[in-house]
Amino acid sequence: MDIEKILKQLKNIAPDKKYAENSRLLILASKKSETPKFKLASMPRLTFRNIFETMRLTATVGVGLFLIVVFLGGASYINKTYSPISYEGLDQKSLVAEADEINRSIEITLREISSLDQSNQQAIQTIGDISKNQPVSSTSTPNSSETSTTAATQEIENLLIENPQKSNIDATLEKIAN
Amino acid sequence: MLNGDELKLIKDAIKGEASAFGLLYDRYHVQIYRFVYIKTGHREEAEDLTHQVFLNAWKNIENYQHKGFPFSSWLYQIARNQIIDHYRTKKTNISLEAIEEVETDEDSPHKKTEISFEIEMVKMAIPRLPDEQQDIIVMRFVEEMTPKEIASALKKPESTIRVLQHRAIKNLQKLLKQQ
Repeated sequence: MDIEKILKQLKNIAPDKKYAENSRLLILASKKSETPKFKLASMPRLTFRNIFETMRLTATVGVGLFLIVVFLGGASYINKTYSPISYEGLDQKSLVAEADEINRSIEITLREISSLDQSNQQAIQTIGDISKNQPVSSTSTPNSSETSTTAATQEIENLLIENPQKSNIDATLEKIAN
Repeated sequence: MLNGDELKLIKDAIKGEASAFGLLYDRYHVQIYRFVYIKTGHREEAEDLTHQVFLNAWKNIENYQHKGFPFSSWLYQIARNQIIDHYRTKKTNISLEAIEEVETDEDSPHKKTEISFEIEMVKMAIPRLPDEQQDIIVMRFVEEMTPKEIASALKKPESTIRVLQHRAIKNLQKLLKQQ
């Protein structure tokens, strides 16, 4: 067996044409790898074009950022100056102070109501007491106690008209109370 | 040796011109397919692996560095690595049915049959050789590459290639006698 001759015959081996065409199309249609495997070996060359492109990109990004800042600042100014909505009331501290004030005024009002209520009750009691002592106008014959009260009242009136001295008045009031 | 025409194609392909790489594909895809097919013994596997070889080459064309050798040397390196990776993940046995019949240059039917039989025997024996010897057999005797080109493809000194070549032929003869 002549091995070398036989090995040369193997040169007739060939791929299927259809496979080869499809493979070629697929390979050329695929995108090349953009990220290099070995960065050191594939660093971009420092050409004027590369530098210019880098500077152009940096400038574009910088201008964009500047415009964003200006826009935001302008929007904030316009909002503060011309906005119909007042945001003063939205200040947290003033809100709390306002709430405290309202609470205090409510408390004062409640105390007032309470004291008025107490005075009212006292007045009602006093009126009730007085009405018990006062004679009631009716057709029946007045009794002796009612008669003495009426006389004492007349005496008070006489004192007040003729000689309104305190000691005389106190003595008369003591009589009425008894 | 790399000729001027091929060097221009490579430079254009590195720039990203798909048409330039397409021409390189046309020039070398049969060679690479043959190499892969003889080593694997399977048509479908050979097609897949060859496709992967050129896909990787196109994706990494920027990494190619011209050292005065044919572009095929770089392709053979990729192909060898691809086959090693393939067998690392998947072990396959050579199927007799998968081996296609190779056309011969003989005219007489008797001779044709005899040669075809011998070709099949050689095709079955080659994958049983060590990897490096397989590569040298295919590159030296099938593709008729020079020892210098083979040395570039296998990244070995030329003297080593000559020694390996002699050893490969001896081992192949032994295998064929055993069969």
